[in-house]
Parts: sequence; structure tokens; C-alpha cells
Amino acid sequence: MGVCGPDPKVEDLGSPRKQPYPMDALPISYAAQQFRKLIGEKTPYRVVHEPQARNTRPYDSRPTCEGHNNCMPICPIGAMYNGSYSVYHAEAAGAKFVPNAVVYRIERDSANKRVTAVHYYDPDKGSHRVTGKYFVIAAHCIETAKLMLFSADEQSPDGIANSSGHVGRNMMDHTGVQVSFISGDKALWPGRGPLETNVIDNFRDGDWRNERGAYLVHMVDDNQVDLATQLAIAKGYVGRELEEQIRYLASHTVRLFSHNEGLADPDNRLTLSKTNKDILGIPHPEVYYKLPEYTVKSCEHTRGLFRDLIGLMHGTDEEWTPGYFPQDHPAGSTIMGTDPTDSVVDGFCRTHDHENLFIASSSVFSSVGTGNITLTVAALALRVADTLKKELAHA
Amino acid sequence: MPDVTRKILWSVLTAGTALATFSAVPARADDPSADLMARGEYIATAGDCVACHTAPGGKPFAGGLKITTPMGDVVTTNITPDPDHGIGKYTEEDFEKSLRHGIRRDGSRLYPAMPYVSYAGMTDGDVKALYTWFMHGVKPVAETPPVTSLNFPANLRITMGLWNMVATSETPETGDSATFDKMRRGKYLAHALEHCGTCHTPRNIMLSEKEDSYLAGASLLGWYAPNITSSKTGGIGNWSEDNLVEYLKTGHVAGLSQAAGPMGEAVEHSTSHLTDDDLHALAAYILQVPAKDDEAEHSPREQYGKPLEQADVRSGELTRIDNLAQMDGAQIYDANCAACHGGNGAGTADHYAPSLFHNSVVGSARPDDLIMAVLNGVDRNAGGVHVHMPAFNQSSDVQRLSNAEIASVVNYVTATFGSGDHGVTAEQVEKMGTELPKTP
Repeated sequence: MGVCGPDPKVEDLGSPRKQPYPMDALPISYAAQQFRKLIGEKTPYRVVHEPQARNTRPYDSRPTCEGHNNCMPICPIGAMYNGSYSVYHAEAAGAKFVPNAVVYRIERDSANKRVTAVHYYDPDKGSHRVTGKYFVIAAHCIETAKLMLFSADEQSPDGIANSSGHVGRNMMDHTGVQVSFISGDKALWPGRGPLETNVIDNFRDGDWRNERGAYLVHMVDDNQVDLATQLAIAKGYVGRELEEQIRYLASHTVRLFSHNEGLADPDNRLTLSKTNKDILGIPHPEVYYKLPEYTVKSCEHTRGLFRDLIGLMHGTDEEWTPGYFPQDHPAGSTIMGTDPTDSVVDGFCRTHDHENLFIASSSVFSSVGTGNITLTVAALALRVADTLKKELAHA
Repeated sequence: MPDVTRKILWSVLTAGTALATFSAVPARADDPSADLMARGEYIATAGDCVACHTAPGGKPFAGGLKITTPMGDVVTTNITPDPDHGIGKYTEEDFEKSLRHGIRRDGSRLYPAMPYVSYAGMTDGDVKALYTWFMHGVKPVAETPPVTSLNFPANLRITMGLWNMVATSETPETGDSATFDKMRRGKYLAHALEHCGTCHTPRNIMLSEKEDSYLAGASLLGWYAPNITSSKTGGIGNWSEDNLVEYLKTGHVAGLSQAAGPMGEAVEHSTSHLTDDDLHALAAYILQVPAKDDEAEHSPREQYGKPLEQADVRSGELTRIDNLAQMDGAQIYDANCAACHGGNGAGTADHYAPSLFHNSVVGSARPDDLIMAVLNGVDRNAGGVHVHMPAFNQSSDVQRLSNAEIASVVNYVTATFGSGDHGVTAEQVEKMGTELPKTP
């Protein structure tokens, strides 16, 4: 998929690597350079390059990132990896992709050891059956658990691969803290370059992790004209002064947010709705989620850090996102583990209960860490593929 | 990914096939001097041997590049010094015969896609240097690529002998090519080494280069190698020597043009490695090639167009692009091209993504190269910059546009930034897509 990152000899991120990243680290934008200088000189912390799947050279028939700041939701020139590129490669290798297919049932053999087929609905609710030697569920964390629970039958009354009762449990997210403010120091001109180039990584690990969760701080480098305009209008500026204020505020806005670690708590779980169904008759998911105390304490710590940084930059006009800032990185729900009584898959993402059923999803995470989850999901999917290749070659 | 376009053999005919078996092992000069080796390597680079004699992702000079031609599939040969699979048993005399006369060691004729009619102009000294480097500087590869199989009558190598009787070869230069004055050196580079005419000179009915139309432009395999004579309206008569040197060195000159396809390859593998003196000699020679006005181009193609005045979002009607049955050219441009080339077509400030106005490819009366660039993208690593524009064809990993969409956006781009809407159709785009060589 193409990951860029710093040379470990120059900038050690504390994650051991056998070999360097495939691509050089992203150049750090002007705003991030200024931020890095400030953090390096005025605090005991450090700003590092964040490894990420953005091209710093042509890679995999996709071009180099040009830093136009329009990364979201997907890169218009393909310089940032997304899952569709892996789908294209799979298709080129002979995979058949069936669009608009909603799998609703997983069929097993009489011993309930092997999956024999899956059934799916087309948009007209026509039902189709697909047989195979191996099955991989790759439906992210909500839909994976939902499908496994909905496939419950006489053989497996609690759902597929659920002898542990842990399917749907241990859901996690990166809960965050977010603030934006107007720096009283020199203009930073955020929004020139890729959205994310840098992080403060001092809070990824430490002895304190037995009490509060780890976190990562991003100085988000996106264009701030929208926010600056709202602020300038709210302040009552009009005419020429309004334009000048928008320019000033957009160049001085700083946005900080964090990814704070969740904990795998079996009580945070997904179940099938008994009242709401979709148009195909499949129950909606229902999620019970209580923010772990561990994460709450971590977020409190982050708020303290952010207040310090605002002071350091002589910031004004603070805008705190009320409560918490969820990062929409759902994980957990079919977690990995060595003990089949409290986990759903083994270290190879194979379900403990069914020898030919694998899960490639953030649902197998048993801890959510602090980094965005896509690259880990992709890496686990490649691990599944390696196992399948090996076993199919011997079959 | 199909990668063969990177190594298109720029010819209508085909390269020599795998070699027959040999008996004697030739004697080789021991310990060739460093000077001779360096010169040989440089000649090989200037002659761009690697472009055709290396398969995509393959070992250098081991051959195996497969090209689909109207006469059948052609596979280039292994020219590493391996005695059984390559040219290891060639004596210098054998080597000279195939290089300058198109006659293999076993006496059979090479297909004239191997540009021996151009290499015929090489000096004896440079042939020796080239031979020495191939024998001592290239790593032997013990692999034989598949054998070429052509259709009748091209499959009869004797046909090539007849062709030789009507085709005109360069006359060998004499003396030490390193001591030639600028214009003689430039001519030597253009004709005998870089073989510019192989692509840029139109061919007659016998598929030989037309002598009276040297570098006047020719169409091959979907691309159009433009008129690069000194014509001010149809050629490159408005370019300075420095402009052309920069182009050959980096593949790009802001406000003039940029190289893609086979020319991008030629820049990457060959011209960007020439010395500055040689580049100036080559450029000076090319720029004095007699002007041949173009049938289609009547106004300098690099001078068309200007930035598009973009409507201020506060004053105009906003267009929603999320609910349209069929996007028009402007909308396709906005969704696929504007991220790099800008809504106004000006490209990036550093010209990594070039401006679309004042751009020979967009301003050309022939939209061929623009269509090919959109279909296949651009991948050129020269002058310290690796330029990559994604392909937009049906196997693109970035964005897959239909033939109709490509036709529509090409027409929009040439109408907005170039010499007008050339009425490209989906059928035309489809045909150009199928002219590409296919990966085996």
C-alpha cells in the first residue's frame, strides 16, 4: 500500500522495524515546522513525522502527494492509500467482486467446524449462495459482529464463532479532545501541504498507562478559512475589515486534537436490535458504550496539555469541542486472543470455532492504541492472505 | 499492471529474435582501458539500447520486451555477453555487422526495427568501445526470451534483405567522434546514436524514412512524434538551444512542452544522461534541421491558450456535481484534472504538474498525445524529478474514465487551453487504447 515514514536511525518512533519504510517521510509543512520548533524549544516534548500511506514518490501506479490539502474524504489523485486500491489489485489477480451483495447467513458443515457457504441478498432481496474452501469476513467492526450474531441457528444459538460469548463485545474507539484557537504569535498559515504531517508522540507509552490511556496529539494542518470566516462574522466585522480579519484569523488558527486510547471492556458491546430492521429484514445494530474511566483520565490529561500549549502560543478565542471528540475509529467486537474462552480469533485472525473462517477487520483489535487504524487493518488482512496462500498451496 | 508501454519499441517493424547456436568462442581483449569502457557505456546510453532490449521489470539488456505489431508479436533479444543466451560468442566483427548492417552472426537478417540504418553512421572507434563495454561491462544473463513469431511476409528474414536494398543507411562517420566540432558532433548524435529520425521522420510506402522530410513528424502506436524541424509554425523553430537542452535533460520546459510515452523513456534512459556539451551540440543541430511546414499545424502549438477565468463562487450560480446523469467535459475536468492542473489550467507553481495552456501537447492540432497521456498517464524519472501522472484508462488504480469521458475531457481541455475542440470521439479513444502493446 506504500507507507512513508522517517528513517529510524534519524527519528526513532519506538516501534522496531526490520527494514526502513518503503518511502521517505513526508516533508513537514511550514506550520508544522514552526510548531515543531516551539515544542522542541519550550517543552520537554517532541514533534515527529507520522508514518502514513501517503506517497512521497510515485508508488504502485499512483502519483506523489502534491500537498493540496484536499485529502478528505479520499485523495482525488490517489496519492493517499485507500482500500479500493487493494480491491483493484485483487480483481486484477482474478478476484470477482459482487457489488450490492448483503451477506446475511453463514452456513457450516454438520460438525459445525467448517464454514461451507455464505448467503447474500441482492437489492431485490433475491437470495444467492456462495460456496468456498475458505471464508474471510472483512466487514469492519460493526457489520462483522452483526453478521456473526445474525447467523445464529440451532447449531450455534449465540451466533457464529461465538462459543466464548465475546462476539460483539470489547468495542473501542479513539475518543479525543479537540480545541482550536487563534495564536498570538507569528502566522502559521496552516493548510499548505498534506493534512497530517506531524504528531507529538510523548504520550504513546509510559508507566502511567496502568492508570490512564495513551494518546497522540495532532497539530492538524488543514485550511482554516471556514472557521476563520465564521469567527470573523461572529465578531461583527464587515466589508474590507472582514476580509482582513479572515486573512488574519485563517493564518493564525491552530487546531489540536488527540487520539486517546480505549480499553477492551466486555460490557461495551454490540447486539441486534429487537425493534428496528432494515429494508432487507436484517436487524439494526445496537451499541452500548460507556467511556472507560481509563480513557476519561487520559482525556483530562490531554486537556491540561492543550491548555499549556495555548498559553505557550498566547492563544485567544478558544473553541473546545464539547465533551469528547470521537475519531470514528471503531475497533474490537471479535477480539484476538490465545484463550478461546475470552476471545474470538487467534493470532492469525482465524476464528477459534471454525477452522476455515477468518476475520480481516479492526474488530480483531484487542487494544486500539493511538494511531489511525487503517494501516493495521490492512497489515492484518495481508497476514490473513499469507496464511490462506500457504494453506491453499498445501491443499 | 501492464507496464509494456514503458518500453515501446519505437518502430513499425520488429526487432531481432533469439539467436541460433554457436560454435567458436571469440577471443576478447583483456583488461580494456577504463577510457574505452566509459566511452562504450556512454555510447550505449546515447544509443538507448536498454529501451528495447529490457523487458518490464527484467534484467538489463536481457531482452524479452514483447511488442504487438500489425505483423505479429515481437520479442527483443538478449544482448548480454552470455555465450549461450546472449551475444557472448560474438567477435567484434560479428558485433559490427549486426550493429551497422543488420546481419546476425548466423548470417540471417535482423528486422529493421533494430535501428541499424541509424547505427550504421557510428565510427569504428565507437563501435569498438560499444563492443568492449557490452562484453566486459554488462552482466551476462543466462535466459533466452521467447522467439518472435511474425506474420507472412515479414516472417521471412530474406524479405529484410530486399528491404535493405531500398532503405537508406547512414554513412559511417570517420575519425574520433570525441574530437568532432559542435555541429558535426550534434549531427552524429542525432543520426547515428539517438536515432531521432526513427520516430520523428515519416516513412514512405516501403516503410523507410523519407529523406526529404527529416524530423517532420510521424504517427506510431497511438502516439504522435511531432514535427521538430525548424519550422516556426509547425515545428520547434521558436525554441532556443537552451530550451531544447533543458527539455532533453529534464523532459520538461515550462511554457513549451513535456515528454511522455516513448519520448519520456528516451529522456529518462538516454538524453538526460548526456553531457552538457553533447546536449548543446545535439540541440544546435536539431534546431537547424531545414524547416518543413506541417500539414496540420499552422500556428505555433506552444503559444495557444491562457488561464481560464474562474467565476467567483460568490457571484455565480453554483453547479452541484453530485447528481448529474452524465458529466460534461468541464465537470470531468473539475473532478479528475483540476486537483493538479488547477481549475484555471495553470498547473502547480513548481511546474511539477504542467500548465495546460502554453503547452505544445494541448496546443497541437493533433490530440493524439493528449489522449495517450490521459489514457496511460506519464511516468518519467529524469533530471532528479520523478514525474507521475496517473493513467485514467480502464485498468487505472486511481480513476477509471470511459472512452466517452476521455474524449469529452480531451475536447474540453483543447477547446479551453489549446487550439480548439478537435471533435475526438469515444471510438477514436478506444482505437488508441487498443494500439497499445499488451503485456504477455
